[in-house]
Amino acid sequence: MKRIILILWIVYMSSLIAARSPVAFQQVDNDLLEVQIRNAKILYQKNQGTRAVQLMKKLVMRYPNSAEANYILSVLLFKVKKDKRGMEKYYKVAHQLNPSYRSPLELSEAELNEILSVQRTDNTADLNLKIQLKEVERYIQWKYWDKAASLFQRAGDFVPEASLYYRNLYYLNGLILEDHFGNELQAILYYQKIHPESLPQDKKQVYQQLDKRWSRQVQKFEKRYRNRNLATQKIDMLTREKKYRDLLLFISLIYPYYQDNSDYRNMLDLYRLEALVEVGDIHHARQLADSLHWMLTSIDVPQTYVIRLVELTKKVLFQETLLRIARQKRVADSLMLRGHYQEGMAYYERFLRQQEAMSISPDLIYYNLSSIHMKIGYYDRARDYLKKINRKQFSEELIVALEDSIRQAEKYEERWHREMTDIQVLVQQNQNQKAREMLVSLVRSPYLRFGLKDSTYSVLSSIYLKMGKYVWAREMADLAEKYSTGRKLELLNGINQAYLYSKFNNTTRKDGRYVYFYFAYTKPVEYTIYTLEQKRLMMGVADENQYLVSNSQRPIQLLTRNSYYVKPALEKNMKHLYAGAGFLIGWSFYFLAR
Amino acid sequence: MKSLFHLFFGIWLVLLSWGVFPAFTQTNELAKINEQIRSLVQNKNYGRALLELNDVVANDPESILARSWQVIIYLTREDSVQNASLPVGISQFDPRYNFDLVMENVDFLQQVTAENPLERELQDRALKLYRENFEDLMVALPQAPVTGFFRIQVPLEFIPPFRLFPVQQKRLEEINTHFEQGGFLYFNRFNPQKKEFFAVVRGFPILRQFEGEYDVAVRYTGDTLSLEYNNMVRDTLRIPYQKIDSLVYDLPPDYVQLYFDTDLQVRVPPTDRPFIQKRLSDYQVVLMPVDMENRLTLSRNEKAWHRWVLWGGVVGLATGFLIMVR
Repeated sequence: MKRIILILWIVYMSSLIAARSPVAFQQVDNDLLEVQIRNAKILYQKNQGTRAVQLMKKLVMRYPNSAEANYILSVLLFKVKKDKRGMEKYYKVAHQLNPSYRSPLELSEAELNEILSVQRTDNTADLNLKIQLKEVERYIQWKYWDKAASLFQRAGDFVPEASLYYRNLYYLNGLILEDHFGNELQAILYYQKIHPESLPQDKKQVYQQLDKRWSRQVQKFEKRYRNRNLATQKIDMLTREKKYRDLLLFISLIYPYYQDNSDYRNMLDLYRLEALVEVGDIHHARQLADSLHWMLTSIDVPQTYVIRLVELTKKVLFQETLLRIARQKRVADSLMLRGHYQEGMAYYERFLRQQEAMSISPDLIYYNLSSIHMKIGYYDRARDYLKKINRKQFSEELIVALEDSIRQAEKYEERWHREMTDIQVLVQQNQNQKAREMLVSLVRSPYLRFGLKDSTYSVLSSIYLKMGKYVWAREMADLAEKYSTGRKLELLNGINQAYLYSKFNNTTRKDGRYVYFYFAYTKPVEYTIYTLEQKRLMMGVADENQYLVSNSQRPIQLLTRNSYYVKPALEKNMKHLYAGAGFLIGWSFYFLAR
Repeated sequence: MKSLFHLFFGIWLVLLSWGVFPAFTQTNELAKINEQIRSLVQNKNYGRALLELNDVVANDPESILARSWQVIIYLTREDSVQNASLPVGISQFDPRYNFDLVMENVDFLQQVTAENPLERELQDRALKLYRENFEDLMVALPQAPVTGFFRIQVPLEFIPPFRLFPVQQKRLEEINTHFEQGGFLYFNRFNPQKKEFFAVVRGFPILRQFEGEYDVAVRYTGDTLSLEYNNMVRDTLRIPYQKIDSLVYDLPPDYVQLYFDTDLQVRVPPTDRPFIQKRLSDYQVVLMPVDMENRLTLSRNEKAWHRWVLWGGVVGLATGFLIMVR
């Protein structure tokens, strides 16, 4: 009896294990399907019907047994593509799986729109977060911590819009990960954000284990950093080590401890502003700087704070200007590189005026002007702009490096002109390998500038084409096009035709050439040569087309790649006739003699 | 002596700065790029990795590192190769599948010698991957009345005994599509032992087992051939001449084909290049490589019975005279 019970128990447990994991995966899959269908509907609403159809087709391939996916695809095909046949194909499957679905043909316009509308009650962020967290939990279970951490980071995008329930799960997973990696600050942050009462029952046990340790840790942390001196020491240490992200985190954790101490809170705000500037979060830095503006007029704030705030605000403004200029600088540089010199210079002149108006040194603009002039090959002007820079205020290292680059670029350009002439000659002589080696060496140089790239890549592309490297030729032609003002249609068409011809033929198309032929015979003889039509030479059947007549002592020109039928005009061979006659006469003599 | 020492020391320093430092910087740069690509590939971010490699290729079209990584990525990515579309022309490559680039890169990697250990390792890895999965399939047309350098159309379909790896499956699909759409096979390789030309299907998927053969169906006829092509045996595909749809000669620019009557004896100067002289129906055909000047010697090729008749006459006459004299 015991044995039977044991066997039954084993069978039950194994069936339970076998059934559980697919169910869990099935759940994740269903969620994913739901999210993707919703995404397709959103695409349709944004007038991106074709993309919605593509997405749904992929979904139907992955979930062929989903009635909803098949149905939505049929409706989309009907609405977007007016494809009745496609609509019927998918509707048939959907109807088989769920007979309650009505054919899109029977539905009114309003009903169709209703099907493709996005329900406002849906919470995509929740579903997305749920799917991501399932994956994170799986990797945590397998102890693939790095993978889990990277997935967890991605899940963060959905947190702001997610409900409290999923946010809680997110913070719990964060706490587990940071606990493993030993990041105290981040772990405390997650711990503080968790609402234990909203956690599901199966997670509460995990939480309780972590809670034992982290509640003590948080208490210790609070006790320690309620002390201003220790908090300041920690801030100094993080600033010294340039760990500005940790500094931001630390300030956000200790900020609530100093609600009643406005003086220390002001100092923390200034540190926070500095950290934001250093990590490049100019948007939030500007907001904070504006919110601290009142300090400048307040008499309660110490003078040192005011000076520090003015300094930091200047930095924020400068960074903001740089960001704005950086975007416009790209436009200006692009214009100048494409030959619109005056338009590009107009941008730079505007930057200079802006800098002047804001009383900011124009050195950085001069440096950029010098750099761009080097890139377009105006080396003298590049040097002129470098001279305008105030060397005492600007980085000497950068100036020296740019001076050196201008010198090298000038030398390279001389070499380029010299070698390109040689390469043209080599290409004409069909010495492609040597030409290729020289070109690759030219391309490898960092000084190959915009104006030179077009012709360098074009010639290299045509050489690769001759070598039968069609994809490489295409890559180079694309690069040539990228750095030229026009399209490279002729080159691209040439590559395409050669590629299509050579595909599975393993050869390149070449024309025939004329060569000389001598057909020597024992004595001078006329002969006729027929050219045979290539296409009609199938199965060895020669179809004579035209003929050339020549003498065996004179050469004749024949075109290679062709087939010819050569027929010498020889006299008829009468030897056998004479021999036969002789044979008969001989025997007749013999008979007569008898 | 001291000044000489200083001179050598100075030269040594200059050489060091010319040779060692740039080499060191280059190695560092390569390691950095390699690490970046490796991490992208590990995270299955293949599209981004290929874009990064395009940037490397723009600065060095013959970078062993970039070319090896391209091969590795295209041969190992399993994300969505099945859904990739086949190339229609050189301008329409699906980023998920580009076997033409793989073959061009493999040809390049087989010829170059990497100096850097990192590049050497990647080069070996890429070539090993290719050799484990693909090889060139030889196709022969035994006993066909043809010479060489011709194209044939034959509607073949290769059917593997089991599902192949994604990239192998896609390549096989590409090969089958080529034949289905009436694509040609070009017989331009020469076998000097058998004195016959054969064709090659580049990058043919190897069945990754020690035994196994493809069924090769000839479409519309119901005929099936078999082709053993696995880890142990790589057979040549022999297509019966009767199965082909069409045949067209397409000679290279340094070849001509000459037809002569069969009663002529044609002597061609000896050559190392592929050369064929054989009788085809009512003609004798010479497929020969050419130079700027070519000399052929022709002579009469007398038939055997002519000789019998001739000598019969002579013998008859002689016998007659002998009898007369006696």
